[in-house]
Amino acid sequence: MKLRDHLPIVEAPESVWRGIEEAIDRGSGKAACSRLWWGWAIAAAAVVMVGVGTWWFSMHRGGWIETNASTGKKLQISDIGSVDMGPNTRLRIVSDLPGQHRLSLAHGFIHAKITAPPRIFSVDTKSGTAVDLGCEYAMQMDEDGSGDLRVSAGWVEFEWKGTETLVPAGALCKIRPVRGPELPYFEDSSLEFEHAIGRNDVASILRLARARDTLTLWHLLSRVESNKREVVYDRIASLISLPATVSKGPVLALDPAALNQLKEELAWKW
Amino acid sequence: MEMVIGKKIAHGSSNGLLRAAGIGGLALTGVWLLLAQAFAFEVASPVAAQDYKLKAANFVFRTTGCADPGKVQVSALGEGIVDGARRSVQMTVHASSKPGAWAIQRQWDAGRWVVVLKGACGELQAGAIVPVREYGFIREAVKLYSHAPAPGEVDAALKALQ
Repeated sequence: MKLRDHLPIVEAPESVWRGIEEAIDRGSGKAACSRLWWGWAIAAAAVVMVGVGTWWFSMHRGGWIETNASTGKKLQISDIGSVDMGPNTRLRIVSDLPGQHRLSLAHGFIHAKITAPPRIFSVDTKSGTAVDLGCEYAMQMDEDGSGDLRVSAGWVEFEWKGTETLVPAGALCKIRPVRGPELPYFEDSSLEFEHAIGRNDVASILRLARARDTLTLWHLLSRVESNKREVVYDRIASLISLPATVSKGPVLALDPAALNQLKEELAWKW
Repeated sequence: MEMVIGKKIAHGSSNGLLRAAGIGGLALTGVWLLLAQAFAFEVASPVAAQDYKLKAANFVFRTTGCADPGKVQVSALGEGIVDGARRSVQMTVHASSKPGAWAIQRQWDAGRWVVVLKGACGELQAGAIVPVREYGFIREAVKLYSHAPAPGEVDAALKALQ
């Protein structure tokens, strides 16, 4: 099933076609020429309007696609991948353009496998937007906006009210209504660590973290009060030997470039 | 007077301690520098390369400790056991869009396989044995060496996969 199959068809008004036909039928002469000219002008305008209308509809209005309790459905996303819908799933196509494929998941389960460059494919939910950074992932979302995101290849960025949560392959992130995404963590981390994240128990998170759990600690840096950032940074530095190019000061000041550099270094342990 | 002598003794002792601490510190710094500069492989999940084209790779790797990263040379050999028979396959190493990072994608059939990495930085050598699955690699079983892995080390790694 292709996304464009769900987009409404916008036809040119009947009067435009009538005008064109009449102009052609009416033969020669100045008046006829003038009418013909006007006819073509109107036709051109209509074509432009139809184009703009199609674009607007594809950007703003797609139909809802639903599955029942016993069956799923596969959606082909242009030539960049596919989305498998699980049973009891409801989603809508927000846009289906070459550079922007956007879905809105009301509730249910989807498994997306995308081969496009980063940020071409995204899925809106009540609690934020999952942006594809070159990945394969599964997302479960309840009607109240709670759910989880599990990534099996590549990365997914989950955006919520200016907060960006990066979930790499092998990791998951629980999503809460109103509160947005929790700290992401690897599926092979301990149950105790997972519970500490659920309680937002910073001391336990720091104590229980392994080198690989610097994924969680990196996100924690920008979510704790400023006076606690140094403790988090020091714990990261005790778990992983950081190169001299990573500077503590800018990281503690949440400088985007410094945080990105730290992330790129830590990713070698993720 | 005693106070002065006492001070002198204390001062002398303090000097000795400082000297010892200084020598110890220098030695530790030397060891740290040696370790920091050791030429070695680092193996990671494909996300480390941050290259979406390599997201399906089994693993990515880079080297550390080479003074001139442009001179690093790497190669990879797949060693496996398929239906009880030993197999060797020369692997294609894919360069990532990030300089100094490479990827290994699946180039083998069924069976148990390890990827043997060899690296050179001038005179320095490094090696690694990376056990692989159909998708991904077995992180906790990766072995890193300061030399090209010897046949016995490869055999042991394959045996450990049984």
